[in-house]
Amino acid sequence: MRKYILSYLMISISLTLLLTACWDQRLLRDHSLILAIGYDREKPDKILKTVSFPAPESQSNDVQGQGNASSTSEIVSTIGNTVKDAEKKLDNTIPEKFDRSKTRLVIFGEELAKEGIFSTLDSIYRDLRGPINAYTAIFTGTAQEALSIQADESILTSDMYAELIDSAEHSGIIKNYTISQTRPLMLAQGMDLVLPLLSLDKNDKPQIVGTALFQGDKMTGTLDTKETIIFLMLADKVTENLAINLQVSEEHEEPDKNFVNIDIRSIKRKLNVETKGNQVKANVEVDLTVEIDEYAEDHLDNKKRSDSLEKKIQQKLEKIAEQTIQKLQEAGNDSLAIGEKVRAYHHSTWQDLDWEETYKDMEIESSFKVDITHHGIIN
Amino acid sequence: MLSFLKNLFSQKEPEVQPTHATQSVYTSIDENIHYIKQGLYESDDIQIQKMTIQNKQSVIIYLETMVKTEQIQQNFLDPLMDESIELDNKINQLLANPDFKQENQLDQVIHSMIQGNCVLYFEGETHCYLLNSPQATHRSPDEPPNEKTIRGSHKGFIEDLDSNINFVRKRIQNPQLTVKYITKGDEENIKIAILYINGIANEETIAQVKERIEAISTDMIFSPGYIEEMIEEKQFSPFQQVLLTERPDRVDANLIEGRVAILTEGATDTLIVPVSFFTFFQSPDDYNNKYLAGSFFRILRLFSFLGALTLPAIYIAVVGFHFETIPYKMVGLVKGSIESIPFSPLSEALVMTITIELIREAGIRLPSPIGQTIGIVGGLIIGESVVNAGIISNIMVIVIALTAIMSFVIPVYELGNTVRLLSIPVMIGAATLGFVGIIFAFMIIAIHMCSIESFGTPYLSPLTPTRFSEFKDGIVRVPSWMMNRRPKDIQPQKKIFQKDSREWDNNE
Repeated sequence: MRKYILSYLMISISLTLLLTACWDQRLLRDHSLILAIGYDREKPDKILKTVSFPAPESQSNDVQGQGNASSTSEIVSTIGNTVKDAEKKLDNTIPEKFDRSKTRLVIFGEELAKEGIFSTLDSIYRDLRGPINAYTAIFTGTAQEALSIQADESILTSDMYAELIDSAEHSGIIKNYTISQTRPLMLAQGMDLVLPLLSLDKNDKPQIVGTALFQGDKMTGTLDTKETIIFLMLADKVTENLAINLQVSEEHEEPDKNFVNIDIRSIKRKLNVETKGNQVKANVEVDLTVEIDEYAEDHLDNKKRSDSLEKKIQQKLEKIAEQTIQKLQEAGNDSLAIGEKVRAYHHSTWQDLDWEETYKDMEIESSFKVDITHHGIIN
Repeated sequence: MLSFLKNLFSQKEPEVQPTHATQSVYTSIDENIHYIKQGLYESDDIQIQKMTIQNKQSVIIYLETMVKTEQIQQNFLDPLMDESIELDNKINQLLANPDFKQENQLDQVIHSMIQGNCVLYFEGETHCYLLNSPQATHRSPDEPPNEKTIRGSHKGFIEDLDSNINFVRKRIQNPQLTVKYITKGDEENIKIAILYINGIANEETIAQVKERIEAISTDMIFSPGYIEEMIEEKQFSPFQQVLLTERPDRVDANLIEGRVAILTEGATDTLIVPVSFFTFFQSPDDYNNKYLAGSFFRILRLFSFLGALTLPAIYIAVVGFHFETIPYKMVGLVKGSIESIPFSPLSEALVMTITIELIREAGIRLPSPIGQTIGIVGGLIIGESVVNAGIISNIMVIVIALTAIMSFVIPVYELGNTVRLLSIPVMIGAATLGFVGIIFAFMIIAIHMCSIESFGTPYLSPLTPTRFSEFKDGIVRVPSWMMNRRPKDIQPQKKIFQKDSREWDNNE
């Protein structure tokens, strides 16, 4: 009897394995890997989808199977009613099937971003193999334009963008969000999304020009790079080694001596929210410990001079901060998460408020405290 | 289905019982010569020498191929020829020598002639004398080439049973070391020795080993592999359930842990039972290294077992089903290399695996200079050109080569073979169902391994049943002063292996 059980088992195992009809095999060699996607609004109500993928190797004199990764990008654009519609049409344009699971970057054209990005991302959130850890960025123009640039010989367009924003985040200039991280920020009350803003310079090289501010899923304003840095400090999103260049005087003839470059060693931020009736007041305090990287004026061993420099830096920072907060309020972008704080600690007030309206007019103060602890290895 | 197969292959034959006639020694020289000649079928290497010793008619008969004649002359004939002592007294004196025996059954005489005895017969007597001086060539106990170690003993077993037991006894000078002989084969021609340490080895295990060896019924045991297949539990399992070794030090260590060793005449391999799966990952070198290095290498071997089993399968599953799991920086590279390969990943892997097996098999049988050439031709030229021609992707070549290396890392050669064979069904699983298929294949293998028992020892011990305290020697190798207990899975009679060996260190 035992032997029969064994033979039935063997038959059933071999049948399961042999009759699977290749299940859902997806061979890597039959798929073209999309590495960057761009979405644009095609007037009046269509989606223009642009994908960038590594160009197939030229088959002529190359040794096959040698495994050289292609280093030139190719792009294809199609127009559809929705993202998936456009995607379906994409597959008809090349011999292989497209696969977007390895996408590193999703770029939105500014125009589409202003109309809202949530419905565009919907298909990615639903997809089992959706690239939910791809970075998102906004481009001041059309995404098609962004992906059409001819990168250097040795690097893929997608890599160039991805590494650009990656290294920018490492040096603390911007904050990146992956597609999965954008979703809660778009939907949450009392928190908002910011995304890196890219552009092309005169030589058609991509660069970071600041931050795009969102209200819900719609882009409503921008910050430039300096404001972005201050914004990141205010929002407590500075990750590491951030450096800022500030003009602290105007009197020197040598222009270099008017500037100071500071490297932030540690940062402490405190957000205080007060409510009085339906009045909400917020105060952001930032404590900075800084190292002076570059200050040609020098003599920082002198306590007085050092104190006055600290003061100058503080004033300068506060001035930019004021400007930044104003822009945030104009855009209706509450990415300092003041709303969240009100909702958590002053819930009864929150229930009475129309937060979007309140936020635009509320009073937000900011104060900086700078402490110079290092000034390099001299004096 | 299996019973059907069994019926198909088994052909019933009438049992033939060999008849052992008992014929006592005749009283005349000629009759005896005639009987012995008939008994050995007039073989041409029979030497018969008639002579007169102290006025007595006598004859010596021997097989010239089996006897060392100078020794006979020196040890027996010369003293007998000495006329100063009377013949009967002389014989009585010689009978004290264990190599000089009296025998009166002629069939026994013939049997001992085959073993290298010389027959001396005096006219008119009803018995003859057997003079033992076998001709034997022993090779030196060289280190076995498939179990080399860097440090420690470099002795290996040879093809002579007595010498092999001598090697073991030399190292374990303990009266408890017990040797039990069992003679097997229908012609009683195979001598098997069971070695164990009385008082440490589990008695039930010893009894089981004896019972299973007694049950063997065969004309000839050509190699220890025969015994292995007859005494192991799961007869169809691909896994090795008996440890084969040619190293005396390994046998000693296992005997002292409480295992049983089985030695066979004419074979260099010793069988050790009971064993668990993790025994096969232990090499004598581990104990000669520092414990950190020993543990590291042992874990490396365990990983290479897993790697050899799964690496090609994982590669097939990844490029065939789940390429989104390839890291971003690698995906372009992988894609570039498999872009123009005409085969499916599975056939690619099978072609490469079989090629490597061919190179290995060709290399083993050839003399070493040609073997090296095969290695270079096979490894370098085929590997290189198969990629250049675009038949196999270079990543696949890397994967298969790595798999082969990993399978050779396992210190027991047989288990390496098992792994390479088992990796093929795992690959097929991966090619049909992706990662799910690998999981299926693994489940079947794991279930099977859990069900194996080797002489009452769970095969996966100490992993299942889990005994963390025994990971000390089973999976890693802790310093030797911490290994105070024998492994529980072999149920030794004496559990403590050593007491605190670093007592001198405690008083400070």
